[in-house]
Amino acid sequence: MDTVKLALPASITVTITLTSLANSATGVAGRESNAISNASDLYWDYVVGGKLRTGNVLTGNGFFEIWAHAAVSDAPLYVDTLTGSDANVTFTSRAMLTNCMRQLAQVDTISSAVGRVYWMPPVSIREAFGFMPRNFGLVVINRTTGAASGVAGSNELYAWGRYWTEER
Amino acid sequence: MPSSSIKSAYAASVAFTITLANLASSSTLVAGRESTAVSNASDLYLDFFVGGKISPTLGSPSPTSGGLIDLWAYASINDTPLYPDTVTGSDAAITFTSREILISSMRRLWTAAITAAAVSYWIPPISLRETFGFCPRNFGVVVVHSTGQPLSSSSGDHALYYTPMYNTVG
Repeated sequence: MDTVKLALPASITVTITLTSLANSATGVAGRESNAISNASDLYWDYVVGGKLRTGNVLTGNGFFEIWAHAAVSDAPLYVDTLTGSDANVTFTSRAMLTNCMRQLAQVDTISSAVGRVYWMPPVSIREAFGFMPRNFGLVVINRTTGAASGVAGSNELYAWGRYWTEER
Repeated sequence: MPSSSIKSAYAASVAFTITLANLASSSTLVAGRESTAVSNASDLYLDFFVGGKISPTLGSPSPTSGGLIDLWAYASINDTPLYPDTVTGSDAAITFTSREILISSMRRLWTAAITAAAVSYWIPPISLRETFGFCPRNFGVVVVHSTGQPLSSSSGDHALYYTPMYNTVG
């Protein structure tokens, strides 16, 4: 009898500089990651999760938003103002942002606990898009009402590829 | 026991053949442009993702805020191939019998409510298999809009791509 199981290669740390990421009251500005190419790995799916830490000055309750974007062609051509590189990003509008990306998670934060680490549970990229994109990246929008933690290593996102194996 | 890896794979992206420059506005969203159909009869891919950008007029007069841009997908209902309503499978202007027939005979991929700003609207990559529940044998896209002005006259302001996907075992 053939056996089909999961294969789980090593997880990777997503290249995205979230240290002291500024708050965006309108939710149009944030940070994008380096894009991840699946052109040669050809994984069936990626699971994305991580941790985000609020800064030491918060004026109210808020949240982090974690979004995923994907290239629309193999050029690769990215949507709106995205470049596929670890950089600050400002979208044309909030409507454009919500229309051209997929939201992976919203992590609520509270003002009474500054400098707290919040966890984003693992989310399937395939499930978010309905298929596994060839090139994809992450965008974090900080709406916590204050800058994100400036402590190095306190904000990290991971991506974990997976595919199937068949034994005969 | 011998072991094989089962993975996803991508073929090269292809631009849809669809002429969107100067596409007239349709206040009732029943007239627009259809693409040349894509045949999967010999390639037999498992899925295609579709994405790109569409631009209202980027000049003056401005588009009407609140207008809509719709991107729809059509699929043949047999291997003739027979297409629904007035769809022909060729890059051409199209007018559906009614909005209701458009809605019932197609699958909506994406809609944007626009502002008067001179910006392009991006369509994230969308799976046809996910949209239809299977991968069609013959398919294409239709664009209709009610932005109040023709779409941008520059063909470079529009881009619609499809990228085939399949699996590998090895």
